[in-house]
Amino acid sequence: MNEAPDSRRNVTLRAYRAGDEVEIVEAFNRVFAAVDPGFVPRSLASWRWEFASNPSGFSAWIAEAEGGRIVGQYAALVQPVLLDGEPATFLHGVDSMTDPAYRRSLGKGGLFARLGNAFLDHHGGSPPGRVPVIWGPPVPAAWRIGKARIRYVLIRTQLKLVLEPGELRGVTRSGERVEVEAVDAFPEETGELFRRAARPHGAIVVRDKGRLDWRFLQHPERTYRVLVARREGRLVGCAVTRVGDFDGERQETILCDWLVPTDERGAHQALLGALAEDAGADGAPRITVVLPDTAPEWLSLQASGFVVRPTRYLVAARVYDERYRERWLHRHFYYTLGDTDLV
Amino acid sequence: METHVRQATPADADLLESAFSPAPPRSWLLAAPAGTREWAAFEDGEVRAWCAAPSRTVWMDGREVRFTELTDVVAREGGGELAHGDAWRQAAAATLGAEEDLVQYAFPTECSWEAGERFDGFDIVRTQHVLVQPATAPAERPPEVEIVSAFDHTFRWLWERCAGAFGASVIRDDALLRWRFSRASGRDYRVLATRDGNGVPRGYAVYSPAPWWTPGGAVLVDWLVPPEEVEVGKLLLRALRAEAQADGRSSLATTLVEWSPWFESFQRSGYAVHPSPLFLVARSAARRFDHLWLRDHWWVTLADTTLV
Repeated sequence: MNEAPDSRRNVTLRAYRAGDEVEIVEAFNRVFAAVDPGFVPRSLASWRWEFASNPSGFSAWIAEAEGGRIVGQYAALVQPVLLDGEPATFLHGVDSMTDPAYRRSLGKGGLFARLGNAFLDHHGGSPPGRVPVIWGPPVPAAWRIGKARIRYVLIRTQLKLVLEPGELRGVTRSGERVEVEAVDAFPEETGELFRRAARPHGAIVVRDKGRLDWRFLQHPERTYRVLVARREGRLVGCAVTRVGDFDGERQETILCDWLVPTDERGAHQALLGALAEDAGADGAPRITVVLPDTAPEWLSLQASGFVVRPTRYLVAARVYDERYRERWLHRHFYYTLGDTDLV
Repeated sequence: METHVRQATPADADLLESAFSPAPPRSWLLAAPAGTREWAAFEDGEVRAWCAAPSRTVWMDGREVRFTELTDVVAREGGGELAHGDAWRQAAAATLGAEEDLVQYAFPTECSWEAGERFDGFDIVRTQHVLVQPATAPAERPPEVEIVSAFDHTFRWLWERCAGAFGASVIRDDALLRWRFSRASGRDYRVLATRDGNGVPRGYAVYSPAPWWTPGGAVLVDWLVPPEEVEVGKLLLRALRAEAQADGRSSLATTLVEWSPWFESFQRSGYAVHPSPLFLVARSAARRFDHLWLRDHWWVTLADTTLV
């Protein structure tokens, strides 16, 4: 690769300003189209949904070259979490990029490292105003530079659970007085369900009606199916699916979110039955779900017929609080694909 | 107090073997066919830390290279406590730094990993899972499966059949297998195998009744079966269950790389994938073969470690 001319080294790092999004989306599409043959360009509507309309907010730092051209970004979505049972905040890194022509700008470590460190050191630390954990599933190139230059640590080499609908064992769509239905909006009681489901987890991103409606029902381009399980009218479980591509597999049913208290075995079974029925009707060859292997569902889903397969993904973090180092996060942090921008 | 770190010599044997309880399996480790490095840290003439690193010959990218395992490093600080202090770090660093390997690796404890963060360049290859099957269903060893009493050159032929699917794997020849499974004193291994009409192994599984994953469980230490030998795999899995049952073990546990077809086959025969606190770490002298490459290409089983 040719070395960038000196004028290209004159790059300024700054926080996002309203109106940057047009240039950000252009840069995003330029950078990723060059490395990913299957890349589908990002629309401005999609950016506005993910960032500007995010009810919890976002932060982005921009690398701006002379002339105002955006040549890099390090961005994260704000995620309210329950951490050891108390409200806290994580950041979820998304859409970080640098224009290849500028990657060696700003000297040692290059633009990505300088941008990432500037962003993370601005946000990481003790509350209030700073967060203990910034996490995400980096692509391999970002992981390599991130661990070398930005002190990323590995939480997990991620596996997935996969079910061919016909292999589901021992469940039906309704049973133990639990009924499942598809809905157009998350119920008001979702927050209460979340509080019950969150109990076993040391760290979990908050799921309430506002965040889930935004995440799954207001997306400008993607359609999700929301299933809720009720026993005698009480909300006892919720699952979100989408038919799409994931991890190199095409048109499978992706279980994007799963919110079922561990003691609601009937809801667990009924939702799985409904998922398999819907996947069969959609003609999807399999159902795929990504969860931490330390989640209680990891073994119960295998008992229901799911098999474990590898993925290309890693889950990594930058940690600013010694209490929540990577091994703690490995054991206690619950997440689903819905907490990421992968689906 | 000054710490003096140096390569161990035969004259140190008594000192090293009496310094730790239980005594590390020095003589076995030092007999590894590809060689073993051994260093120790001394303070005031007493052993403070000891470290051995057996090497393995690995077929990788069309050539033989050397991988070296950093085994459990033992150390004691003032008062005789096992610890991960400076002597521990110095002994481990000296052992690893003494010679150049293509890959150095370990299954550290969480404590030793955090204490050893100063070992530059080690990365987590994999957060390790353990495949576990209850051994409750009745089973008998199939007549096609024998218990091997001695390894011969035909075991390398079996490895060669399998190796094409591996980006990297320890060469499982008779010398390696004899050292690993026949000469380890105090360890009970049973090698189960099936053979073709010419007596050549079609697949083997190494079983141990040692409680590794669960107190009442047994462990599958090594597995080498060509993926197309589906029936051989089924026979060996039945034989493993039979051994566990005969020994009164409640479960069987093992590790397999998740990209192997056997990872899914084991699940379909009743094994569940459990999380574990284990993680495999490595550092590579070749950027091209970094920890992500190793995750996706290195055939590694418990036999490639000294864990069990």
